[in-house]
Order: sequence, then structure tokens, then C-alpha cells
Amino acid sequence: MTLRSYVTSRVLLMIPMVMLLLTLVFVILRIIPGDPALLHFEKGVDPVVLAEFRTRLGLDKPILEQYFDYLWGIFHGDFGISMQDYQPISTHLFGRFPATLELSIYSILFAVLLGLALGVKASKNYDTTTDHSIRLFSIVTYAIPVFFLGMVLQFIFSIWLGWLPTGRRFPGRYTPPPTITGLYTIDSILAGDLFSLVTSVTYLILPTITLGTILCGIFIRFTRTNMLETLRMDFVIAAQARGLSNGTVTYRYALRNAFLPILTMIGIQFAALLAGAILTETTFSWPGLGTYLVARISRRDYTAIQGTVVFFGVLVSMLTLFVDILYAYLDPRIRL
Amino acid sequence: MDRTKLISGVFFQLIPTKETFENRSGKWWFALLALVGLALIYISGLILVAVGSNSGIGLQVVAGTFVIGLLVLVSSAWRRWMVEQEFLTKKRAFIWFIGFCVIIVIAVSVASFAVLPAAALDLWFALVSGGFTLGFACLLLYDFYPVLKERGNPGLAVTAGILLVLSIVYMTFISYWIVPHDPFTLDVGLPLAPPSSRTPLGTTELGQDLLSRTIAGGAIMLQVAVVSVIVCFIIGVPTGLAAAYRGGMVDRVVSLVMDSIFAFPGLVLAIAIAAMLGPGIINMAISIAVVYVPSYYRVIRSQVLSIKELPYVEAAVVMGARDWEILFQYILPNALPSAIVVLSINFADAILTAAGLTFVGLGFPIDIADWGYDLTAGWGVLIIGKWWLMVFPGIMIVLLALGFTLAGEGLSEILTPKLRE
Amino acid sequence: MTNALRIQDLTVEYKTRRGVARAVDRIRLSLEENRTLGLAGESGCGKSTLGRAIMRLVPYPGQIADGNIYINIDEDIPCKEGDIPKGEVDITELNEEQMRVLRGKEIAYIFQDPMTSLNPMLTIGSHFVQMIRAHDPEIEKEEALDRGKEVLEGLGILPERVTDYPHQFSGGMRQRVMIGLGLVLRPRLLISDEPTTSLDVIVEAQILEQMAELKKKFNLTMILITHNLGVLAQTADDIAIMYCGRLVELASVENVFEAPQHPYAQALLLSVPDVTKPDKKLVWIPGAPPDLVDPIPGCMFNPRCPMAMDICKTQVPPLIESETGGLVACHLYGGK
Repeated sequence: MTLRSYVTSRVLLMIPMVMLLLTLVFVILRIIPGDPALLHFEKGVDPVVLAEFRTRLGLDKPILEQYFDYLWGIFHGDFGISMQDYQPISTHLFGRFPATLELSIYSILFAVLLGLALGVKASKNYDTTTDHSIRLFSIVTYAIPVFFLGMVLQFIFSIWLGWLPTGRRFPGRYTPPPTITGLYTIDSILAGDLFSLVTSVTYLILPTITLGTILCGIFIRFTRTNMLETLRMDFVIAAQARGLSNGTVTYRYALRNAFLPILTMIGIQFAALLAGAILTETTFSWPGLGTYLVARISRRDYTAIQGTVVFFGVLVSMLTLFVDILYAYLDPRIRL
Repeated sequence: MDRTKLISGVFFQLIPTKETFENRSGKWWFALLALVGLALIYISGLILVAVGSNSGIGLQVVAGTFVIGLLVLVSSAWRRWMVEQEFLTKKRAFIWFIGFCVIIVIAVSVASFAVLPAAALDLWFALVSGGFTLGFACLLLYDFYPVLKERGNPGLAVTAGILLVLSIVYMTFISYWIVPHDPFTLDVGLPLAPPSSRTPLGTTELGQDLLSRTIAGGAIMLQVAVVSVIVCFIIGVPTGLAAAYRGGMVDRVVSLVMDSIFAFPGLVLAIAIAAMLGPGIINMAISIAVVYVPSYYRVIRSQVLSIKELPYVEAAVVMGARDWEILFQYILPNALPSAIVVLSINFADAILTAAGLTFVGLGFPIDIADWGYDLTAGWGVLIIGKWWLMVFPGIMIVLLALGFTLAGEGLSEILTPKLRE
Repeated sequence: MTNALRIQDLTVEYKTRRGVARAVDRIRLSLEENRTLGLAGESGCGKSTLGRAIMRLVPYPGQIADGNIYINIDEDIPCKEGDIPKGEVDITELNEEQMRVLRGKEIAYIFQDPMTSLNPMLTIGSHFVQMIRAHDPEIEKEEALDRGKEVLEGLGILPERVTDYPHQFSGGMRQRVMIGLGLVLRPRLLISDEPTTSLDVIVEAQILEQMAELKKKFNLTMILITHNLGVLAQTADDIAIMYCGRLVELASVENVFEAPQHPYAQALLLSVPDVTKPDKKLVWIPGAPPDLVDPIPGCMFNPRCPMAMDICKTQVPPLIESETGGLVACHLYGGK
């Protein structure tokens, strides 16, 4: 199979998956509850107000028409109108997305680097105390709720010791760097603003460590298993028998071969990453998609919940697709 | 995988083994203690402090459960001895053992009616369930269930994990009798009072005793986890079996649905469903279950697909075995161990997801003692330095999830070994 | 004639959860230059472990417990962590870096399965470049590649194919590549572990013939590990037969085939079909080898031996000179 036909088939396969997902969310949030408008008001409401509310949100149309409007909207990047302020949800989503993106990128980087380092270390010291300690660490990180770890770190480093700031991305009394990408660290570098860079990094440290630590457990375990398998393969031993150095064998042979499955793992972890990001953002009041979602849950803003959930779904599908294509590009057995 | 390991992995049979206290090495015990020692000290510390400041019959209840636990252990040891001496067959000895257990249960009910006729049923339930949980823990350490015969780390991890879970379950069962205060009584102390001799773990924003809430708060988590895991298992396993065995269009459609759910961020989907369904144990359990069904489905499906190709299944087909025979006698027993592994990890996932749902505001009302609720409340007051409200319930959630994760990790190495040595 | 290889009381142990298994038990043998030693025995008898031990690459959890391995080196070999002097060197005394320098340069190893012993992520050319540069970092990449091409050409592979990946080659070609990699640095000792077992018969014959030619061309000393006695009859000068980690017989090819001394060697030969004697009655050896973790006293073969005596159950027979000039470890011949 050539790379091109692989990519085509992957994209074609993604379309029904995304469609299914969108339908699922629509069913869960529009059809099952019966009338989200009534749910929104919780207590009794004047029928006239209710009717107007429905008309403004388009909830008075037949359900099938609503469904196609919804699909058509998403296709155009329109995720509906909020029940709270009648604003398009996409404005909020696109405005807050860079914050989530920044946190996610650094967290996954932290998780992958720590995971690779510890995983390789564990596999090279197979069945020793080092190995067991690393494995235990990875199991413990799996069992900690991400927000609990966040709270503990927040308490120790910002409330108790006062070393690092917490809450939001940037102190309110300063202007953040001019928006180019929306990622404060990148924007400050582009603007050549050292102060902004340092400030945004100090705000990033705790959330990144929190989310990264929770995610790294799976990478440790996965790297370790894959390295152990690869280190036992004939070609690795054959490389040793040809007198290649230990470093070459570990990193250029074993790790490079073990890295492809790890790459797939990164793709699978995007879902966990975003789920963790919601909780981490809430813990640190990080103004991203997660805090938006949580705020809308407390306001019973069902259209906004639906829009955000769908946004997350589409985002994860695209990221997964991207990783799959990257995988195909990197593996010579697929790339022909 | 040999047959005993397989069967015992699925049903946890009681079979006499040669492993006893004496021939387990000192190193083994040390490792186990190092692994769960701190956690067990924390849990038993909570129980001891609670019993100490409890005005009712907390001490008697704890003592009662210990007596029952010991009786279970002794009767099991006796059963094994009888079998080893060949006085009784395995089957007879097992019937005797069941008989003993029934006698214990009857004796406890008589005793609880005699002691406390007003709340006899509650007392009986606490004693029996707590006692048998302890008995199970003792058997685990003494007798070693066959699946844990596996020496070395996996067996150790499973033992440690199950021990952790059992101790929390035990604490939850007897919580009603040992808590110093009703977990819901307001103004036991000042609001947000720090840990003191009167309220050993401090109080909540409403002045409730945090120690009592920490001890009693596991019930919700455990119920949500158990219900959601059962729902997942009941839906995921048969669907996986059927789809993979039938193949064709059905398989493709079901797989597509499952893959879509699987690719979705689990917590986000659970949030969407829970937001719709509203609060409640069953509702929360359902929203979690929907998210985790695909993990069972995928594991079972891939197992069935590979087992279906194995020579002995093909041989059975050639010899004219019927579909249900192949499915239930050849495929299911070999696919189940992987489902057991998923199940155990799934418990941890369910607990973490439940805590996450509570944290984003989709949890239970305040009049229910729940670790997730207190942890979330603790987050709100963390900024003013009130750390205790978040720390103690948080540790309990971690320990419970850790117990299931350890057990799952160990089981996955025993039942579905990837690296053969 | 000098000895290219001399092994003294070599013992390799595997530490398993069930106990310690001796895969190689006090082996003593020496190998003259330019000769081919065939190492035969049934699977699990320790012949591969012995081969690996000479490379000091015993797979985990095995380790060399005792004994010495001497190899003869023509010239001083420079090494960062202590140069290796010429003459007889005990490789069990060398450090990891010295050992690495020896691998591939003095001793080469060819693995059983060519399908898995090449790194799937590297081109064939990169294999050569990495190997050559691991031993002499000063060689330019192009020069190393040229040397690789030259060797491949000698083995009947088009030099242009150095840019291809392993999965684009057939099994026989991959094994030729492996042989080329083994010989590119002109080692003196070549250990081939079942080099043709996974190939079909025609390719097997070609490869064996090529190996014989190369042996002559490069003045190689060879150890050929195989369970296929037919292959040994064609290629080996001497044959060593192992059973349960011990050497039971060592003699020239003619003697082993004409007049095997040890009862196990006799039984082994009787169990091989012979085309020239179609009416030969094949005899199988009853029973199975003993458990290596729980070894039996005396000669390991005694429970299966038709000629077992009382002494066989208590004392390990020493390796003594046999009537035919070889060595044999059996109490039948202890009398004189």
C-alpha cells in the first residue's frame, strides 16, 4: 500500500466515525432528555418566555431539521448558540482553544519525555529495584485523580511555599503578549518579550507537571514493555554481535523501533489528554475549554455543553488521524 | 495457559495448596508490607481513632468481625487439613466449609437480635459482611487462592491490591457502627475547624465531622463502581463475543460504533450523559458504563478473533461441534481472562471518572457522604489554607483506585502474559 | 597449528524463578585455526547458549558462571578502555567496551532467522555504515558504503540495493546480507547459529556453498551450530555433540559418522534417515531429556541409555580420549 492510498483510506474511515459520534452526542443531549429548554429553566417558567427561548435557539423546529442544521453548522465550524447569552458557541471555543492547546502540548511533551526516559531506564535495568520502583510509580500515577494531584501541588508550591503563581494564565495587572498563535509562550518569543515569556512559563509549570505526571504512567509502561520486547529481538542482539555500541543499540535500534508503537499510543492518549485537561484547567482556573465546559454545566446551558463536547470529539478525531498518518510516514514498511 | 490457572482466574476457586505462611519468604512479606504498609496503617488508623472516640458499640462490632474472620480462616484451614489427610474428599470438605459459614451467619443473627433488637438487621449486616471481608483477606494471605500461587511480583501486586480494596470495603461495611458522629450532623465543631482531639480530621464547611465522612464516604464510590462495572461487563462481553464470532456486517457496524465511543475523550462523553441524566448513583454509573463498554468489547473481540483461528477450535469445527459449544466451551473460557483484567482496571477507571464527574459539578447533593464531594469542597477552601478537607478524602480515592490498579496490573501479567520468561 | 579458540570449564547458568538451570556445564574444547567445528545436539541442549557465550551475549536471565574463553588475536587492537594485546586473550576478563570492539571485528555471529535479524527501520547500507563506523569512526560514510557494496557484490547481491530496506529482500538474500555484515571486517572466527534452518533446501545449499568458499577466501575458523547432521557431514571438519549442556563426544566428521562412540551419538545417528540406505531402520530415543533446573546425578543420559551401568547413575563421566582419536564422555570407555 502506498502512503497516499493509506491516507485516503484512513480519511474515508474517519468520516463515518465522526458522523456517528456527532449523532451520538445529538441523541444524548437533544433527544433523550426530551426538551432541553425545559431542563434549562429547571423550575417553572412563563410559556411565552419559553416559546421565545425555543425560537431563538431553533429548538422549535422538527427534530430532523434540527439534526441537519446541527450537522451542517459543524461542517462550517458553527457549534450552535448558547442558551445563556445567545452568542455563537464557536466564538468562545476558538477564543479559549489556544489556552487548552498550550497546556496540552507542554503536558504531552512532559509526559512523553518523562515516560520515555523512565521506560528506557526500567527496561535496561529489567527486574531490579530500579525497574520495580519505576513500575510502581507508573501504577500510582494511574490511580491518582488528576485534580487531586493538582490540588496537592497547588497547595504545596503556591499556597504554602509561595514559589509559583496559580490561577489563570497571566497576572491580571499586565497585558499578555500580542496574540499571534494564542500560545503565550510562543507569542512572547515572537514578540521578543522576555518578561512575558518568564511569566507565562511560571504559570504553566504547575498545570503542566500535574497533567504530564498523570499521563506519563501509561507511557512508562508502554515504553518499558516495547523496549523489553525489542531488546530481545534478533536484530538487536545481532547488532550487539556486530560490535555496535551500547548507546547505538539502545537508542538507534531498540528505541527507534519501539517508538512507532509508542507513537500510536500518543495518538490514543489524546482523548485522555483532553479529558485530563478539563480537570486540570478547572483545578488551576486555567481559562481554556475545560473551565468553559464546567462553567456551562453549572448554568445548565445544554447547547453550549453539546457544542463543546462535539468540539472535543472532532478535535480528537483529527489529532488521531494526524498521528496515524505520521506513523505511516515514519515506518518504512508502509512508506514505499 | 494451563487449565487450573485459567479456571481459577475466572472463578477464584478454593483449592487447597501447599503454600502456607511458613514457606513464603521473608522477602515476600517485606515487599508486601512496603507496598501496602502505609496505606493499611492509614486505614486502620482511621478505624482505630474512630472506634476510640465512638460512644456506641463500635469496639464490639470491630471485635465481632475479627472473631468471624478468624472463624472463617480456621474452618478453611480445617477443611484443607481434612483433605490433605484424606479424611474427606474435596467436594465433601467444601460442603462442610459452606455449612460452617451458614452456621456463623445464623449465630450472628441470633446474637445481634439478642444484643440490639432495635437495629438488629443493620448490626447483622455489618457483622456478617465485615466479618467475611476480613475472613476473605485472611484466606488470601494464608491460603493463597490458586491464581495468586504465581510467585514473584505479579502475585504480590494482586495480593497487595486486593488487600487494599478489601480493607476499604471492610471499613465501609462497618462504618455505620464506628463513626464518632453521624456523617450528616451539622455543627459537630466549628465550620472548617482544623484537626483537633474532638474532630481528629477537622470539620467541613458546615461543621460536619470529616473523620466520620471519610470513613462512611466510600459507599457511594463503591456502589457507582460496582454498578457501572457490572453494566459494562454485561453489555461489552456478549456483544464482543457475538460480533466477533458472527463477523460480517454486524461486526463492522458494532465495531464502528464502539470505536467511535472509544476514540472520544471518556470524561467528556460521561459529562454529557451525566449532565442529561442528573444526579444519582444509577445515573452516574450508567454514564460511566457507556464510556467503558468499548474497552471490554475491543478486548473480547480481538481475543475471539485470534482464538477462532487456533487449531483446536478449527478441529472442533471440523468435528462438527455446534456453534454454542464452540462459543462457550472453547472460546469464552480463553477470552474471559482478558476481560477479567479489563474489569479490574475498569474499577479504577470508574472510581476516577466518578470523582471527576463530582469535581465538575455533576455529583451528589450535600446530604450524602461522598469522598468526591468533600474533595471538591476542599478545593474551594484550599486557597485559604484549609488543606484537610481535600487531603483525607483524596487519599482514600487514591488508595481505592490504587488497589484496583495494582490488582489489575498483576492479573494482566498472570492471565495475559505478553513477555514470557 | 595454533588454537583460534580455547574454552575451559565454561559454565552458563540461567537463573529462573524455578531455580538455576545449567545450560552449559563445564565445557572444555579447543578449535584449531581454519577448521570448522560442527556443534550438534537436540534443541535445548545448550549449543546456542554456548555460541552466545563466546560472544558474551547470553540472553537474560543467563550468565557465564564460571570458566574461561581464550581467543587468539593477530595484532594489538586499540580500544578506549584499554588496548587488547595480541596473542591469546581471555575474553571473560575483558570489560564491556573491549568486548564490544572484539565483536564483529574478531568474532562474527550469524543468526538463525534472517527475517528478524536485520533492523527493519534501517536500509541495508546503513547496517554496513553503522557497523564499520562502530569499529573505526574515522572511516567516511561513503567509503564504508563502498565496502558494503563490494561485499554484497561478492555475495551476488546488486550493489544498488544498499538503499533498500530489509523487508524488500527474500530470506536467502537477507541471510547473505547477514553473512556480508559478519565478514565485512574480516573476522577470524565465525559462529553461525543454524544459518540455514529457516531457508528452503535449494537456498540452503547455495548459502552453505558460499560459506565454504568464503571460509577458504578469508581463512576463517568456523563454528557451525545445527541440529541437522546432514549439513555437518558436508561442511564440518570436526563434530562436537552436546547433551543437556555437556559435551559428550568430540571427533572428526568421519569418525563420528563411521564409528560414533557415545551411546547418545550412536542413537542420534540412528535416528537420521539416510538416502543411500533406504531400508535403514530409524530408531528413536525413548524418554525426554532431564529437567535442567533439577539435574540428575551421574551421566545426564543414563535414564535413556540402553547401556547404562550403576556407575552412570552416580558419577559424571569425564571427557577422555576414545579409541578413534576423538574425545568421549562415557563410562563404557573408562576402563583403559
